[in-house]
Amino acid sequence: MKGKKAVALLIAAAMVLGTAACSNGDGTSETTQAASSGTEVGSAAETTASVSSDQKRQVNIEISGDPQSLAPYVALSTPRNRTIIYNIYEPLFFRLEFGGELTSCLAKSYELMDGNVYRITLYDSIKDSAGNPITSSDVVFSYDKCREIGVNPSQVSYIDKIEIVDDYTFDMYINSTEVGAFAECVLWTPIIAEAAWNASPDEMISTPVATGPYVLDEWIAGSSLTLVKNENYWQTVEEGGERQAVDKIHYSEIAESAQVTIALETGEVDFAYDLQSSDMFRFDGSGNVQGYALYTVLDNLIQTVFFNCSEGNPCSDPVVRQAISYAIDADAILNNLFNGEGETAVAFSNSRYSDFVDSWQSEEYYLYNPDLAKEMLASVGYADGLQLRIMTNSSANHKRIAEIIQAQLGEIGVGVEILNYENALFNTYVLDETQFDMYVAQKAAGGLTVSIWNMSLDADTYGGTTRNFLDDAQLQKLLDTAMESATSTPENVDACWQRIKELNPVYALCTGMKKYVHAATITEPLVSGESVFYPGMSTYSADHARIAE
Amino acid sequence: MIRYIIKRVLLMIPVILGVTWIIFTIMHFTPGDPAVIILGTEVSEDLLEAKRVELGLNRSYLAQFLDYLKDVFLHFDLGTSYVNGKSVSAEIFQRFPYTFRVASLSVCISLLIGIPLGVVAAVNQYSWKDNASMTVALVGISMPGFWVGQMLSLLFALTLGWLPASGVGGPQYYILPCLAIGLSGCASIARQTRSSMLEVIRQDYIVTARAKGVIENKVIYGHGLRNALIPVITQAGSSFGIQLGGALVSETVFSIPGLGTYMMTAISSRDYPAIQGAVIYVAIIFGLVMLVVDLLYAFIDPRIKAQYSGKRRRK
Repeated sequence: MKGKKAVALLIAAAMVLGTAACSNGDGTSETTQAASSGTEVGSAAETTASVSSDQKRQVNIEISGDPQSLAPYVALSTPRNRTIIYNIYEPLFFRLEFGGELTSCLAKSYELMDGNVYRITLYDSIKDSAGNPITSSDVVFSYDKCREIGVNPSQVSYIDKIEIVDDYTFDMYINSTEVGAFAECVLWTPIIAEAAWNASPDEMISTPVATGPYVLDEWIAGSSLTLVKNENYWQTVEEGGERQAVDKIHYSEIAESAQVTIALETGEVDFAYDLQSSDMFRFDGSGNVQGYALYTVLDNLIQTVFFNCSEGNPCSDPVVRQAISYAIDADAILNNLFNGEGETAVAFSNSRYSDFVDSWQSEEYYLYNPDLAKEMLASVGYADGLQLRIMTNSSANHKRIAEIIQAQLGEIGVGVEILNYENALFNTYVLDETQFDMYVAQKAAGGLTVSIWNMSLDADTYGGTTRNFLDDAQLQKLLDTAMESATSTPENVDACWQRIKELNPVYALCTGMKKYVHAATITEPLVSGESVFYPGMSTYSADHARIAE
Repeated sequence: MIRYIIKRVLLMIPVILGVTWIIFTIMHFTPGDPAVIILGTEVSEDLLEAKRVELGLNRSYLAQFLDYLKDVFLHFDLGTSYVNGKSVSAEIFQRFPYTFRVASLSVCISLLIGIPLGVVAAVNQYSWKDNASMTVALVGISMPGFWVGQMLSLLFALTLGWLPASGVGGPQYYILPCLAIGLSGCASIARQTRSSMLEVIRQDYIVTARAKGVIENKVIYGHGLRNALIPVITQAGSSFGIQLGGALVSETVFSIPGLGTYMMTAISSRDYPAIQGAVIYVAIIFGLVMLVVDLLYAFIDPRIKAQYSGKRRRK
């Protein structure tokens, strides 16, 4: 009996200990309305010392994983890669506003000449952190190297050649008249000195030498990465604006989402990319954590369902695709995934894109109508229902979308099997028409709706059909017209959209709000449309007192 | 003894060859295209095929395997990563110290807590001390390491603010991850120790030692525990070897840049050279750890050492 009492006491003690550890920050599961971008919600973080002009300033940023390489020509598919690379390297131009105008970075200006040739003029004072001057020949070298490495083909595929006019002027021959082609060529390719590349022992994988405002100080692969101010930065504040507002940028690699919350609450990070949505409420002023704000903006990522349009597949019939779209309640998906914050799709686009046509807001886009869906399926011989496979990658959001669709389609007699694969396998199977009937994906582009369509629906890229195996000559013609600069008018973009909507190879679901948590002492975080956080160009309150050691 | 060690090392060669063949074959036939991972899905098939040719993936299985064997065993080159072009060997050597620190410390914690718990339980069998020790052991084994790690972070990093929640740096960064792994390890060590001690303390020589007037502590720890340690050392060694392969859960939770996260990232991105190189490295390390464990038997138990004295092994 005494032994049993002792055991019971021990278990109780363990439970109390566990409860004490868990009890910090009880909150409801509902999120409140997010604060608007940059608004201070809580009080500024308490400081132990005010910052004087001779003290250094540091900002800590959370990223979800290791960049693996700091070479200039790497895959830029994740924000964590971009947010590091573009604080070390610089391209010819910036585009800080989503879909906005090009602003000068290394290039002072550009001029469109005859024959789709752009004459670009560099600043004449550019040098990298090793003191190598940057001239036109280095620009040619950089683009040639990017093409040779081949990781980001879209950055160079539109460039026929670059001809040097003088040390700081060159002509870029663009082989496409597609809208956005020039921007694609000049926004993303880092420019490096040929001498620096040749001097690098490892092709700059861990020894980047570039023109950017920050240089690598320390990199513990898999744990953290630190950049410090480039003391020899070539640009002046008067000419280019403030680009070095902090002295040190420390990136903490935190793979576990719960640890991101802890890191924010303990003050280990000032800016978090990957806070899970269920924890956002803690930091928006309604939770128990003060001193933080939410940077909120409509995402450019559109959640979609792609149909397998290959011959022989049930979804090759446009009536089946339309019926399935009528059976999906996109509002429910928005509410479930993003707590209703965002937009239900009215097109394969959203209102953030500069070529979004306003009339789409008032058009019907497969509004939820399960009865109509059943009728349509019956009209093409599926009165008794059918079985479909929906494929997702490892994203938790995409799995939830698939589960919701499975439940909704079940109500009209369509059985859905969910095939969940890790990303590598998913990316292989989306190109294999035998592996799926539908798949969930998210699509985005750098500012133009037609670019999103081009990425997925351009038959020239995928050997004669769209990415999901649709073969329609009329769609391709309308897409080509909408993509051409001279003919990319709202009317032509709309005409292309009407054809996409009619054929419905892809059904757009919704777009959520993109939210990043940041310390309130970062009063105006500069986050570009492509989610690159520029700490050096952000604004801080006087008491942002993280002193760099 | 020297001959025994040399023989064991030589026996590792066919083991490593077998491991190499198995992991190479598995990766070769696992679906997933490294070219798609590197270039993305929105590129033409021509570009993808060019990347496959560049990586040598268009060659036959046998050609790729023989080339890989030649590189690994003749040139000691584990290749370069498909994803970032870094040397796989350099990456492994850079990350291994972190995994080694976590594994060593966690095994030490397991032994330092587990062995005394097990001894106390065995010596006081059926008493409250036995029940309490085994309850602690049961709770330790039952709690998943992932959850323990999170709870420790919440308590010591967030609530109390005593320790950092994640990352690496000074010694304080290793306390929580080593505790998370060590606590579950000590549970199994405690149970094994108790089981071994219960057998040993009933032996005649224990009774004899007590009859001779040897103090109880020396009877238990000097005579009893030493005889009970063989299975405990086996378990600790096995656990250490597994931890050296990368305590993936703890490394992920606490953002430790060790071998576990390296292998996980490599698997996700179908980085064949990194996966193969890391597995071969872990197999070698595990073999060496088991050799050390076998040598420890001889150190602990003179009867085992006597088997290897002279020029021949005595049966």
